[in-house]
Formats: sequence, C-alpha cells, structure tokens
Amino acid sequence: MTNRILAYLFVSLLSVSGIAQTQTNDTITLGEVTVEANAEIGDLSMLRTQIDSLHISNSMHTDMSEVIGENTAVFIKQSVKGSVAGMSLRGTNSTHTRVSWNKLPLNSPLHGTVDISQLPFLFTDDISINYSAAGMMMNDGALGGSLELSTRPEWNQGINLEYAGAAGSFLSFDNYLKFNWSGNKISYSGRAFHSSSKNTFPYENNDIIDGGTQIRQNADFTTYGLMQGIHYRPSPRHFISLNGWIQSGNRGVPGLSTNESGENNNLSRQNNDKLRAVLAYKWQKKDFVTEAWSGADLQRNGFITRNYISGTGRFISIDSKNRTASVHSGLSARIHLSGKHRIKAMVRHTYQHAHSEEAIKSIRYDASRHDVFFSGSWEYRLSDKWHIHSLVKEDVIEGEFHLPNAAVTVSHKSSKNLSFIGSLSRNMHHPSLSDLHHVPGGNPDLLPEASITADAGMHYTGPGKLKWKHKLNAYVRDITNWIMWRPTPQGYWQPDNIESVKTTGIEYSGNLKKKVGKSQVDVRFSYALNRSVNTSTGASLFSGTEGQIPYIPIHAANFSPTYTWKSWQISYQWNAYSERYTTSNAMPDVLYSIYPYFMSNLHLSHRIVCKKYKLTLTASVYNLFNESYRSVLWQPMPGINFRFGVKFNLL
Amino acid sequence: MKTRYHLISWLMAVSLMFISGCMEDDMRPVTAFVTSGNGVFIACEGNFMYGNASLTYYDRESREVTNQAFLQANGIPLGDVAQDLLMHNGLLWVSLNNSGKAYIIDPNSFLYKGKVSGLTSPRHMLPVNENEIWISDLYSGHINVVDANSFEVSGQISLNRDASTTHNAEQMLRYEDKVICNAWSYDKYLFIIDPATGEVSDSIETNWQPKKICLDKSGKLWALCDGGYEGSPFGHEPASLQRIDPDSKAIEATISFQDDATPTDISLNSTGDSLYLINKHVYKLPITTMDTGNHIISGKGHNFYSIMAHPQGVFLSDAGNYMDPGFVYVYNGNSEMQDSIKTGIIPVDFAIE
Repeated sequence: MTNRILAYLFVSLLSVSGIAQTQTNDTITLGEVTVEANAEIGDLSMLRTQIDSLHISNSMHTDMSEVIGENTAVFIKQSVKGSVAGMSLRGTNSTHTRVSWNKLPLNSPLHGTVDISQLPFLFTDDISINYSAAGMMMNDGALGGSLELSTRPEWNQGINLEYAGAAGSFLSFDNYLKFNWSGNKISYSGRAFHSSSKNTFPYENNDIIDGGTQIRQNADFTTYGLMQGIHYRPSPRHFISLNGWIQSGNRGVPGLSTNESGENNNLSRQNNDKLRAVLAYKWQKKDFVTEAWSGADLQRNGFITRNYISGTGRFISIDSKNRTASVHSGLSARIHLSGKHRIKAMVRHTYQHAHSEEAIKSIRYDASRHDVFFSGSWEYRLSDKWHIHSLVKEDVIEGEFHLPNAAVTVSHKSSKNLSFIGSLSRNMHHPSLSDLHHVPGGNPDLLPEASITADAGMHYTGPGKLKWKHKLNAYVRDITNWIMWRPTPQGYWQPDNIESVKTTGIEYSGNLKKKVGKSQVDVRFSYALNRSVNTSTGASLFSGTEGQIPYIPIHAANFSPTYTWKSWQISYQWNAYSERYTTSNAMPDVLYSIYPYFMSNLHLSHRIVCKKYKLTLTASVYNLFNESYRSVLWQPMPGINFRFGVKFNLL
Repeated sequence: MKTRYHLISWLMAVSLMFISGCMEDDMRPVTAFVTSGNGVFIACEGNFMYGNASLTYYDRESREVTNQAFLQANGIPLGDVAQDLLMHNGLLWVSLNNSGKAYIIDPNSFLYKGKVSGLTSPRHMLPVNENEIWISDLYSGHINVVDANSFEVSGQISLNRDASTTHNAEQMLRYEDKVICNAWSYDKYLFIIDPATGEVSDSIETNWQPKKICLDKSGKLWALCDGGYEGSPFGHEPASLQRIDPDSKAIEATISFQDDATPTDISLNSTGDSLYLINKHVYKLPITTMDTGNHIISGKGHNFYSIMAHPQGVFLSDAGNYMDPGFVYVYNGNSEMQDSIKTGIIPVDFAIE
C-alpha cells in the first residue's frame, strides 16, 4: 500500500512538474523522420507491425525483449531482465518466430529459436513484425511470423554522435555509443554497448517454509558488443554494404523459488559469444532491382552447473558447450513489367552446422544441413482499388524437395482512409538440428510442420486533424505435425510430431494523435486474442479439454499514452496477458498456470537542445504499483524499480 | 483548451492505474485435513523446472481423492520433481529431486513437520534403522545419512573408492545386515554397503543402467536395466531384467527385451513370489521362471510408469502424455480394476498409510 501511495505521489509530482513548465518557452525538436514511398504494388503492409522507433526513443531500451514486450501485444516469455526470452507470435511457439538482421537469419541452427534478450536494440534502426505472406519470402519456417531487423544508412549527414548511459535499481547499468558518419557516397555506423545487472532484488519467498524476504541470487548478467556498418554507393544505381556484429555475454540461471539445495548447489551459468556479418550488393535502375547478399552467424554457447559438497569439495555436474555456424547467401531480382505488374524471384541457400558436447557425460554430436529456398512472387494492380500479391516457395532440405508453399493476398483500397486485405497461405517449418539429432532424445523421424493460414484485415485512418488509425486483423491457422518436446519414461525429453494444432485469433491496434499548441497526445492501444489448441485425436484424453498450448496467453494487451509538452514527455505503459497455462489441460491452478499479468511502467524525459548538442534526461519507474508477481512459474520478479538515464546527441 | 487536454490526458493516465489490477501472487488459502488413516499417498513427479510436483491422497474406504494435498494444507508448493515416498515412524517423507530437499509431513493432516535441505539432487530414501534415513543423490557421488529425529544430515557414504570414479546411488534396499544400492545414471553396478561402517564392501556388475531393484522372498535380487540410450558414450544395449544372487554376486538369469522396449518399473507382490513388470503392458512372472508370458494388463492407450503391489491392491500409474495430470489404477490380485484415480502430473511412487 505504501508503495502504491508513493507511486501516486510520484505521478502527481511529475504532473506538477509538467504544469510548472508551461510557464517557460521552449521548442519541440522533432526527431528524424523517415518518409518511405510505398514501393509495393500488392500491398502487404497490413500484415506488418512496424515498431515506431521515434515513439520509444525517449526511454532507455537495451534489448529487443524489452522493446517488444513493452510496446506490442506480443507475448515474450522471460523471467528476470537479461534472462532467456522467447517470442511467440499468433499462438505459436518461439521456434515459429523467425528473426533476421539485414536479411541474415539469426535463429539458432541447433534449437531453431532466438533469445531476443540477446538482440541489442542499438544494433537496429528498423523493426518490423511480419505475419503470413509478408514474412514468407524472406524467411523459412515463419509459421507464427517473423521479426525483421535492419540498419538504415544515413546520407550526407556528416558526423552524428550519440551516447546514452543509464543506471538503475539492483546495480543495473547500461551504456551505449553510436558514431555515424555519412557523406554522399559513404555511410559509416559504429555502435557499441555494455549492459549489466546484478539483479539482486528482494522478494518475499512464500514458496517454502520460513522463506521470508530473500534476495534473488544468481540472476546477474553482463553483455556487451560492437557493431560496424559501412554502406557505399559509388553511383545512384549501386549500393554495397557490410555489417558486422560481435557480442559476448555471461549470465546466471536462477533456480526456482522452491529450491533449497543451498546457495552453493545447482549454480548454473550460461555464456555466449556471437559473430555475425553480412555483405550485400544492390543494383537498381528504374524498373529493375537486383540484390545479392551473403553472411554468417557464428555462435558459441556454454552452460555449466556447479555444486559444493561439504567434505567433498566443488564439483561440476553439467558442463555443456555448443558451437553453431550458419552461412547464408541469397540472390533476388525484381522487375516492373509495367505499372501494373511486378515480378520478384529469389533463391537463398543456408548451410547450418552444430557441434554440441557435454563434458561430464562425454556426450557429443555434430550435425549439419544444406537448405535451399526458391521463391517467386507476382504482384498485380488490377485497378486503383484492387491489388493482388501471390508467391510460391519451394524448400529443398538436404536435397529433399517438399510440397511447395504458397500465398495469395488480395487487398482492396475502398477509399483514401479504408483498406481491406485477405490472404491465404501454406507454409512449412523444418525440424532443427537439435530436434533431429540431439543426444539423447533427438528424433530423426520428425516430419516438418505445415500450416495453412487464412487472414483478413482492415485498416482505417480517421480523417481530419485528429490523427487516428485502426488496424484489425483476424486469422485462422491449422498446423499439422507440430513439434513438441515432451518427457519420456527414460528420463530425458524427446520431440514428437503432434497431429494437429489449430490457432485462431484477432488483433487490433489503434493509434490516436492530437496536437494542440505545444502539446501532443499520442495514445496507442493493441490487443490480441490467440486461441491455440491441440486438436489431435485423443489430445483431450489426459487434459480433459482441448486446452490452450502451454505458455500462450489467450489475451494480450498493451496501452501506451504519451503526453508531450514542449521538451517534456511522459509516457505510461500498461501491458497485460491473460492466464498462461503450463500444461495443456488449461486449468486455472497454482501449480499448472500463471495468473493474469498486469504491468505498469512510467517514463519521463526532458530534452535540452543547444546549438551543438541535444541532451535527453530520462527517468523510468518499472512495476509502478510494486506488484509481487512472476511471469514464469516459481521465478519471482522485482518489485518497483527505477532507471535514470542520459542521452547525448551531437548535432 | 490547452488546460482541458492537459487534464484529460492526466485523467486517462490516473484512471488506468485503477484498472491495472493486482496480480494474484501467493494467494493460496489453506485447508485443514484429517485423514481416515487408511489411505495411499501418491507422489507426482511433475515436470523438471516447472515446480509442479504434488502429493495425491487416496482414501481407500471412501474412495475420495485429494490432489495437491501438501499445497492445500500448507499453502506452499511441494517443489520440483518429486522422486520417492517413505513412511517412517509415523511420518511421511517426500524427496524432491530438483529442489534439493526432502519434506517430512504428518500423514494425518498433510501438514509440514520438517525438512532436510542442502541436498544436491536427492533421489531415493531408505530407513537403515529407526533413527537413520539414507538419501541417495544423482550427482554428488554419495549417500546422505540423515538423523530421522532432527532431520539433520549427520554423515555421508561415498560410493567412490578413488577420485577417478564417480558412481551415484539410486535405489537402496536392505539385504540381511547389508544395504544394496544400484548406480543407474551412466553406470552398471550394484554396490553392497556395510551400514555399520558406511563402507562399500563389494560391487556387482550388471547390464547397462540398472534403474530399479527389488529383493524376492528367496533372497534373489532383481535388477531392471534400461540399457541406456542410443548414442550414449557409455554404451547402449537393449533393456533387460536380471536375477542376481547377492551372496555369490552371480547373474543367474537375464531377459533381454526388444531394441525399442522401454520397461519402466518392477515390483514384487506382497508375498515376494511374483514379479510385476511394466514393459508397455503389465506382466506378472513367478520368481522361479524368467518367462514374462502374456501381459495381464494391456498398456494400449496408456503410458504405464510405475507400479506397487500391496496386500490391499496393485497400484499402477499412467503418466499419460507426461505433461498433464496422470492416473493411478487400482487392481485386485486377479488383475481386475477396482478404481481409477486422477492424480497430479506423472504419478511416480506410492506409500501406504
């Protein structure tokens, strides 16, 4: 209660502060605005969610799990900050979310997932989440959708220097530095970050007898990295770019709150090193664009569990390491046959290799695979109102041809403000190297997952000065041969194909902007309903019902009003997820489900602009109402906590 | 005009605080129980790292089932991966493998009475005498000796004769004045321990991974070996059932199962002259033969996981899909089903009140 009162006082204080500032004069300095012409004939933008980097530029974000978790209705499964974060799109699991950076796929060849807490926000300029047909051409296996990240060159901007530093509760520190230089032909960007936290937050452990107030142990993390990007355009028709990213990290893996093995037992840690680079070439003239790119993603990961036995000493019970290499190349060509037709063809090749070993049990395996993807699309403008986009994609996995994937999308622009879209697609996701070859448990007989999805949506932009937008989408998807890891009587887990999973959902996002004098209100709201049910024969034998797939919330919502007055900005962020079930019986229960999640954060920023530089001061309150909660079973989360930051831009 | 927008935006922000709601962390009301004294406790393993282990109580008279008995009585979860149950001196012991502890519970009320904590990875429990419980461990290489009255760890028994070998005890049983334990994980030995000295006196080599052991009425030891898994660096072979003479240490007979067989449990009947075996189906073989014969209970549509034969019935667990609550079926001596109990996730062990 005390904390809640404090939180209200904090808000009131900010309010008073805001009102007081009305007596001063200042100017609003708008951030960089990118205006992009719609280059597509068959408009797929309604199947995309673009995260507005300008909207979130005033809060100090470090990794992508924070950005997406706070600004969309997408469910991120993560315990404490810095821990492994999986992203689920449209009722699927994290292996069905494909992630790419400058066209380089980032999903681990071993597990097929991406830990999005390891994607630094700083290393990307554009963030888009693509669904169905919008993500199929560039990504393989994106049954849920894809997260596409890219850097964007500046031209003729000279030197641009940006530094940001933040310090927060529980000894959390974030620093990043960005140096850009651009002329007419060369654009360079160098970025570096360091992020760490002890995560030693107090919590009430009511999960054991005599738990009392405890300090979270072994939840610390440190991660740092460097990105270099250079773009060269020798002429307006030629573009060459080279982007590289190196990153290293180390983190504790906190135990469950029920663990009483002692502070020196079962201490697990993870470390990871990543090296990513992609070279791209683009040549374009009026009606023709061709691109070629090639890149590699090299990763090294380790997991170790240490114990200490009185009288025996220290010993290691698990010492596993893996190295993965993914080399990806692609070639695409796009041609406008006329103002009405456009054809695109693409071929991509990926070589994946994984080496995994566990030193204590001397378990090791190596696995590799060549994947080739051919795809072609045709876009047709039937009239000013009707657009058609179709694509066909063929997956050749280790020399084996599969049934082609395809998508047809029809969009209708009913008026200047109102558009509709409908899409039907078939897509496929192939088992990862770990699914097939893991020791023990790998299942070489696994079949690829296949989905058929129908989408429908509308987009409405309100007329007049009040800028309001509504986007509504609905989908139905049937996934056959869904791959699920399950325990076995032998004591290890093993993946299996489950016959059928049906996912259905509705997504809404709305945005209202109103500017009055020197004030601006920007309200964003998004909601997603995702039903994801195992409809296999006999699935309900044990679950009793056709229950929701574990860890997929049925309801997810995000509400974010931002108020800007002169150089001050305050934004409130509210995120909610409905109950998440950890078994498929979808039964509300302390042991089998996690109660609904409601989280409130508050960000305040103030910008000081001088002739030569811009300074932004930020203050953030997380878990505003000091909720005692968890987002993963038996993993406590921190109460109210704060972060203060400063951002410096050389103008 | 400006003031109005200012006010509206703040009202919106403040009003949200009221709808943001409270999360229901730790809202676990407790219930008072008094058991009939004629029940069966069932430990439900739960899933590793999900912390959803639980204790089910089945009243044999009323046929009533109480799931999550420990959670309901104490308001706290049992922990992560329940492994073993032991009734000793009127108290129920539950070992919790991935919680590093064993809880001691009053079987009449399910109320917490004590705990043994600070264990690395506790597995099975054996009362060596009235005042001493041994708890095996999956990783630590030794058996913990626990004072049955104070619940304190009073000593350790190592299975390793030197630093170059690591054996971890699994199940333990009494044979005459000795304790015999099996080393299951990546191992193939049974160890004979002298409880008076706490020293390993001898060992018996078996087939790969002796997972379960029991002792029949003629003093023969039965070991169910799961054979490891394909690709295991320590070796892999078909699962097998072996009958061993603990005195001569001779393997008297072996049944090798098919390559893909995954037998999960064995249990002797109450008179010790027949052995129940789960190998997909349930078999019952006399201890004098090594012929499983035809199954007595079909496993079709089930995933039978563990079995306990008792004078008052045969209790057979069905882990189902291993991720949802399972079942325990109660059979009489003629293999006729008497009752079906819905339990927690992966029912693994039983204790008669």
